[in-house]
Amino acid sequence: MDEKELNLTAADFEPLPEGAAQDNEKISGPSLSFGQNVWLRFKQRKAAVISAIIIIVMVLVAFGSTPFINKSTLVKSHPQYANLPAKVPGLDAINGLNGKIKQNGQWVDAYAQNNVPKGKYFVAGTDYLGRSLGQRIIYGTKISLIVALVAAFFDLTLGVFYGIVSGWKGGGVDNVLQRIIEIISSVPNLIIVVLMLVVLHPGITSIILAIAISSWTTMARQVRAETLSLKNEEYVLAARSLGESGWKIAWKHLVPNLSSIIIIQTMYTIPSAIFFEAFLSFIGIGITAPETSLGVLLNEGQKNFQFLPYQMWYPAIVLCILMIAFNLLGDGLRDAFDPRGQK
Amino acid sequence: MTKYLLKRIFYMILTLFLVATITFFLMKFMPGSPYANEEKLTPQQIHIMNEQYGLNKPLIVQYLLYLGGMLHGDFGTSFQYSNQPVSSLIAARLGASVQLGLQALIVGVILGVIIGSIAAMKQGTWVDSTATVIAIIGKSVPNFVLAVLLQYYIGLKLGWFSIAGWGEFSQTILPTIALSVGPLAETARFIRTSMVDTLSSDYIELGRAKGLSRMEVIRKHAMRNSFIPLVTLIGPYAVALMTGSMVIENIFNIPGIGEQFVKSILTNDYPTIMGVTMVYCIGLVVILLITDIIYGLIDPRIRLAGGEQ
Repeated sequence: MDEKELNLTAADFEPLPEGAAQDNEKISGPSLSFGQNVWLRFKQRKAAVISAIIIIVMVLVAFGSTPFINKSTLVKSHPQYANLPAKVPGLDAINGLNGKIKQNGQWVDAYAQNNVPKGKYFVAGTDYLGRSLGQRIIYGTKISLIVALVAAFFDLTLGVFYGIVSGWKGGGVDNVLQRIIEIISSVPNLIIVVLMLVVLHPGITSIILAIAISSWTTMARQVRAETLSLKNEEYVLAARSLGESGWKIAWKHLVPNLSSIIIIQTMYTIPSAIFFEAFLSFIGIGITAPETSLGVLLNEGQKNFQFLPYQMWYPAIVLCILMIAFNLLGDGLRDAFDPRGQK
Repeated sequence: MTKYLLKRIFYMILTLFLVATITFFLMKFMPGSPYANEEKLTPQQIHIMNEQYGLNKPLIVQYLLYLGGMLHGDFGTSFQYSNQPVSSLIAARLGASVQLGLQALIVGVILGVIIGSIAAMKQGTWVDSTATVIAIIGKSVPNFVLAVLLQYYIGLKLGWFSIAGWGEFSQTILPTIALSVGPLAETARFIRTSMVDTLSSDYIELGRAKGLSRMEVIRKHAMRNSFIPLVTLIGPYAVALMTGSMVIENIFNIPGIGEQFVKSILTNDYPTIMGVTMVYCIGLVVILLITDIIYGLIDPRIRLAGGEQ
């Protein structure tokens, strides 16, 4: 506009209606806390939500089964029921789920062949000693979940504690602690686990211990790196200059701000712990008979795979679902906590 | 650079020394005897055997002898295969494992790069979703489960490849596929993320703005920059392949070092366990060092001397 004379009088202006100015500052929609934001983003990831539901169901079934499935029912063999395929009442039309099994290219009713009483059926079949495969799979899932929980526990305690101390103290302490981690992590985890298993006796306790000891280093490294940068944040400096003790700062300020990486890292430790247990039991140096786990079941199933494929397929499917669910849940949580990252 | 390298090599040696020491003492304090059928041996025979294997000397002397022997590649004598030195046992089996590992690495990385790049270029389409599903399944399905399935359905049912053994190239195909799935999934995920990042950066926009075709920009600028971080995955690859080889070699009956390791664990063959442990550690430590050096060389922004990341 040119330099034009503007002759404005009071009449040219019109007062705004009462209260209209306040609208400019108004924020539509409630303000969301960090947790609410995460939850909102997490809900959008269908795969992660479904995975979470699957995991919850598996945990409930596996741990809820404890009163019904115990060692004595698992170990007791019933040779008369050996190697029966799955039979689910009501699914008579589907070969493979109706008690029939393929022998020489033909479907034969294995239940009739072995003179199994009429009302008796096994939803997931039986193994070579006539033990219910379904029960063994549920028990094996429980072992996998226990291994996962313990590994996560060590991650959350030892890993987080070590990382915070190392990052917070800095200097000489940090240097020594980091060199220790460097040494531990240049030995393959597998070697640590195997050596532990050779020294302790193979079994659930030593396998859990071995996995726990070797799994926390990644967490410690990540927590340390983040602590190093959080240490110089204003709110930490403020707390420090007010004379707050180191422990209290760690608990009140560092841990809440570290929570995203802690949760994400835990979600990645879990599937690798489950894999390790299955792997070690599969090659025969982890959990061994009469104890059972998914790895043991896979090992047993693999021997008869040609003739009784279901004995390998069922535990394999359960293990894969478990692994996929945890991996997807981990991805979903990572995206929910850190929207800048992927996508 | 030299200072950094010297420091790294010092820590390498320290690590290996500690691992050797720890394994030595762990194995020494193990319950049980190294001899099969010990109860049938007379005390005199045991005495002679102890003398032969050097087990009658004081512990500290045994330890020093062990360390000294290791310096020139002598890992002692296997308990299981009479009179066979562990080093020649390992040397005879290292070739198969290395070949299998390299084949799996090459197949896995190349396929992973292709899948990851395509997914990033077609971001948000069904191609991308398919690639993501492949990556998740590859990451989640344990390789030993896959190996058994491949062995049965492709090896036995279809009869395309032989199901076990080692010697001909066709025998290496199934184990290579089984072993390569892990690196494949890891690479695909990594490349996709890295590529998506690169594609949205300014110099790519510039390339497009100055009139380069999309393919040309991707080939000349995006690929190079998004592949550099792949070097950081070499360490995890090595670990995954070492772990994988133990079980895959067992399933396909391949005379490799992993199969030997499992066998020696199951038979309490301590010298072999210690020897293979050392070989694995040396392998990993050297690979990690080389990774760091390569990374510094191809990406000058990363200064090795900086030490901490």
